[in-house]
Amino acid sequence: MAKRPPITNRVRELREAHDQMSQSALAKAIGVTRQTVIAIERGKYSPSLESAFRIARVFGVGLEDVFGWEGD
Amino acid sequence: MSFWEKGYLATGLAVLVAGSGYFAIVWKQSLALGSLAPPNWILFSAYLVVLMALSGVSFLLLGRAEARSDDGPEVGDFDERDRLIRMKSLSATSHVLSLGVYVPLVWFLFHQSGDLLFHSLIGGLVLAEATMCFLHVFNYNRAY
Repeated sequence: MAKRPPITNRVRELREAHDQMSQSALAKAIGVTRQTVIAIERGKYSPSLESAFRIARVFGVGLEDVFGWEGD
Repeated sequence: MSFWEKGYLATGLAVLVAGSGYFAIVWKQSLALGSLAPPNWILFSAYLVVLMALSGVSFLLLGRAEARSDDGPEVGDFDERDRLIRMKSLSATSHVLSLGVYVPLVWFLFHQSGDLLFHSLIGGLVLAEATMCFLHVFNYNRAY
């Protein structure tokens, strides 16, 4: 298996804080499949910049509140 | 497993089943003839029909199964991750396909056997197609 990308995220935490928003609902809101949301939450996939911005906008926070660099 | 992941797995297995069937029959015919069996359009058509039928039926069954699950709206959807996985898988597959074409051609230069060329090209195609399907499944499960 390839090394995981060094990008961390709080997608799951933010999703749960938003009235337990489902993975499907988030996927629909940002225009990806539920499998991609699962992969992002597990740290197996780093989304495109566009999707990253879409995720941040769905939660009404900044990009850096959702994504971070491992170790920072 | 996503719809596409299951679909590629099913198609990969269909390619292997149809390819194995083709070569099992060629092997049997060759043993009966005492030399390599010549290409035969009935066998080749049967291989294509079995391949298309197996992959078609598996996608149909998968589509129905997914439509009943929570992933229903996603059936057939293709997003940025799917596109990236497809690009990576096809890029690696192109090398296997080149090898599957060049090796039989080089072989032909030495053996001058059109029958061998035909069967080995089919073998190269089966190998490339199976590689493409299993690389998709592999890439869906790796992190990047």
